[in-house]
Amino acid sequence: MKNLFRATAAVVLAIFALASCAGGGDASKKVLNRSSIAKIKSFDPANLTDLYTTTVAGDVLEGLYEYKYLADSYELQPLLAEGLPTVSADGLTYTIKVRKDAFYYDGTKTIFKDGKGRAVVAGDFVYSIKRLADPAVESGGWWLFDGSLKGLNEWAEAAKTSGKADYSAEIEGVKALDDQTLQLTLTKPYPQIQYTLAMSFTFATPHEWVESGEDWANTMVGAGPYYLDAEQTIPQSKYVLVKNPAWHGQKYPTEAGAVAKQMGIDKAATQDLPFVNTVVYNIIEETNPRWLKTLSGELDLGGIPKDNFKDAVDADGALIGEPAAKGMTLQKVPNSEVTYYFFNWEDPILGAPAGEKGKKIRQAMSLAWSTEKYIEVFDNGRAKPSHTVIPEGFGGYDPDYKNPYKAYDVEKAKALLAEAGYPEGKGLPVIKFEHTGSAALDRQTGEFFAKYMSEIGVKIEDVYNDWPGFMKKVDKHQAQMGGLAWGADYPDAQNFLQLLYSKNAAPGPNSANYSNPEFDKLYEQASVMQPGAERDALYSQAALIAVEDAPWIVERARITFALNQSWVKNYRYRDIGSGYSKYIDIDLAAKEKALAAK
Amino acid sequence: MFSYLVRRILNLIPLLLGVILVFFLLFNFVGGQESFLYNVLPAKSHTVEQIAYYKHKYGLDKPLIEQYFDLVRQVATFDFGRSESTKQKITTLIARHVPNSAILTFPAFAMEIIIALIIASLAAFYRGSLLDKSLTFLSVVGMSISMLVLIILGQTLLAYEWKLFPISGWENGPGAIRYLLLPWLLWVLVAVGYDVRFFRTALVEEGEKDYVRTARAKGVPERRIIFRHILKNAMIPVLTYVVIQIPFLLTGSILLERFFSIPGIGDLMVSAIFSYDLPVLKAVVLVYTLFFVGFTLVTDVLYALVDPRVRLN
Repeated sequence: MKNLFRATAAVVLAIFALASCAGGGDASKKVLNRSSIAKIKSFDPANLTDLYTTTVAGDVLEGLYEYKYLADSYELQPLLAEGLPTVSADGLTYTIKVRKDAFYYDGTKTIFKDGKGRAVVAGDFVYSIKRLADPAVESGGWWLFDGSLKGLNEWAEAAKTSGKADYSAEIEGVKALDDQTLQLTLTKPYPQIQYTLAMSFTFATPHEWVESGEDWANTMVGAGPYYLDAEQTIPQSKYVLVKNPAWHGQKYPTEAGAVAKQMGIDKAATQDLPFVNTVVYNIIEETNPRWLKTLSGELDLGGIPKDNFKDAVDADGALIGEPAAKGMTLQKVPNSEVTYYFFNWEDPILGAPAGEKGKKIRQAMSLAWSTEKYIEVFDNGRAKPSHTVIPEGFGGYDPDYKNPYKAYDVEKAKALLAEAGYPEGKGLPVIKFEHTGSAALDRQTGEFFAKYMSEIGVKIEDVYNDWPGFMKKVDKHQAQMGGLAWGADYPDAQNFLQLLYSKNAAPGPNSANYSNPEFDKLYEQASVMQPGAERDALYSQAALIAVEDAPWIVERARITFALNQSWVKNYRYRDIGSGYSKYIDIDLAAKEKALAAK
Repeated sequence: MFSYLVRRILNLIPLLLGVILVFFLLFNFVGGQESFLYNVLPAKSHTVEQIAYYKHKYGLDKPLIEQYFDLVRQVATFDFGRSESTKQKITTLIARHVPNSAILTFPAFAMEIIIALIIASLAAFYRGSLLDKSLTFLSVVGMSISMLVLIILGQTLLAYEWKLFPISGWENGPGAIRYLLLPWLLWVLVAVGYDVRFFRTALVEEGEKDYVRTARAKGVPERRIIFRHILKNAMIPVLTYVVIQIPFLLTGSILLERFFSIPGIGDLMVSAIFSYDLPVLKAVVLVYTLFFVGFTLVTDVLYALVDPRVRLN
């Protein structure tokens, strides 16, 4: 019996010893431990539509342009291009020189046997863009190019008709003049196209990779600072990215904006990138283990789950508790987005058919709603009210402008409702509010909104859908009102104003089906102009028309609370673009010291 | 025996067709296919043409009867196509996830059964004593605590505070064991209570049978009665219970897989539900069905081998 007890004790001790031995590894190597809150999908650049897969892919694949890491706003800089595009006087032709020193690296060593492959050439970008148009690829990024490049839609149509895309066919609008020169010819001015060349959809894609087998998109062959080896094919619980020995190289930026200087991340100027040898993306979908791993130091970067917010951040937004004691740093960054409640422009009560009456109801409902209170109750203060469709920091955004219908003024709202012929809401039919989900948060939001509307006598019927059910109603113009959000694809207000352009009515992104010829005219005029003060003024004017018409109750931009450990250097949260791991450094000595102190 | 086996296999065909029909009706009339369609459309902008394209691509524009037989064909050929969400071959996805679930569940199940048998034997042997009452009480307590609570407690206390286990994670190969210890422990804690009560009842019932009383009357030593007679005969319901559990084991433990980042089949199914990945969901549900039907067949055949009367019926 004694022996049995000893043997059992030995086994238990061995199990605990095995369990508690840390991963460790070679301390001389710098590893950046990150997390992804969702599974990695396909690495096919034409279908990099989700943030999490794009973040991983952005460290391995590169495009012609990227965003300046230390600039205050999102400004383009060349990456695989030699310089910014040369634009013809009519704004229709973009000529881009591709750098000569960029090579692909195949970590699986199946396509390029030695790892280092051939040079990146202009033809690779022609190929990437053609893939977006190929119906068989079913790209989620096609809408960005649809109708923009001469001959591309015709090529796509021919592919649809014949059932097979002809990649050898020349297209007038997308040409490689030689290995180093890419020429894009537009059907009409589309200055935003330069931003699409910084998006994941147009990452350099070698055709050898796509042709390497049916599961080619389970791994990546890119020209970026890191690569994936053969062990890291989808699906994994973590993806280990290793420094690319064949990378073209880059220096830490010398020019820094005020924000970067204030953060103190401008000190590494001219140092060679990337700083860390390995980037690990751990897939952790549940918040509890993710939070515990952040606190334990296993993750270098993290966020604060809603349930733990009060233990980590005080009323003034400063770090408290364990994260503060561990010396973590908190960044609060407003997202480049807008959330909104839309009114169906075709609705006989709330929309254009109701004329001035409908307009006054919409304005009244906007005045009766308190976004500030919503942010306090539901966002833990982690959002900023928006006043127009244009997000903060974008051309056309006016930081001093206050939307007069966002003032939370119940008396004024009642007055407007009375002017519309519905004093105290009498005679106004019940308004159906379509929700995108049926979870507790959706129901709480629904009740909260209904409570505010009841103050002016407007009765709300909450309809809880699942996302597809909601979208189906929106597509069929059957949603009387509903809530949506839009995150920036690129840093141009056109990306947001298009949500109110009449030609984009549902199933396009204009879910309100808003239509105002004056707005359309300004949108059409401004969206084809090159960036500048004149264009921004037109954007502002268009946004103000929408404020007055009130097809939306403009809501808020959520604020990301991004945490990093005390030993992480140069980290800056950016919500547009990818490939930022190369700028982040780890102070190994500080890490060792901090972990030992625990 | 051979004709019995053939008969049983032939019986499976209408059963499978029925299951596929129920599945098909659920997914058509409780909203699955429409939801799926709206999920595969590009999130930021889509057109009427794209809606028609995807309807055609997935055969949703075909008459229902044709759609049903398409589904039957997929099951028969075990070709479910590719995941709409990840674009990967679904059979490959299943083949990669099932072993991870099995590594999680089989050892945990085996450990739990052994522990439950030992505790149940003690409780049965000392029936009515304080030990029996204490063990029964603890079993009920164990049954009453939800897996979710135990996972959060386990991760927070045992892994984060006391650093006895990793918080979560996964490695392919033997490295996985380190990450499986806590999930195994939690599995045992959750399942052992129920099984102790079940096994105890089986042992107590067996111990009350006439042949046991006869053995005692004849002066057979108590240890011999327990190990040679009671335990041996009580194994019949226990083994039946174990065999019935096997398909459940292959389907994994959704909560454990989610919280511990274990890439198992349960986790695959939840991800498919969240992303409305109908092709994957369809395949996983039908694979679950095949597991159950397959193991039911195995159990029936084993019974028939042991008891010839089953064959005659």
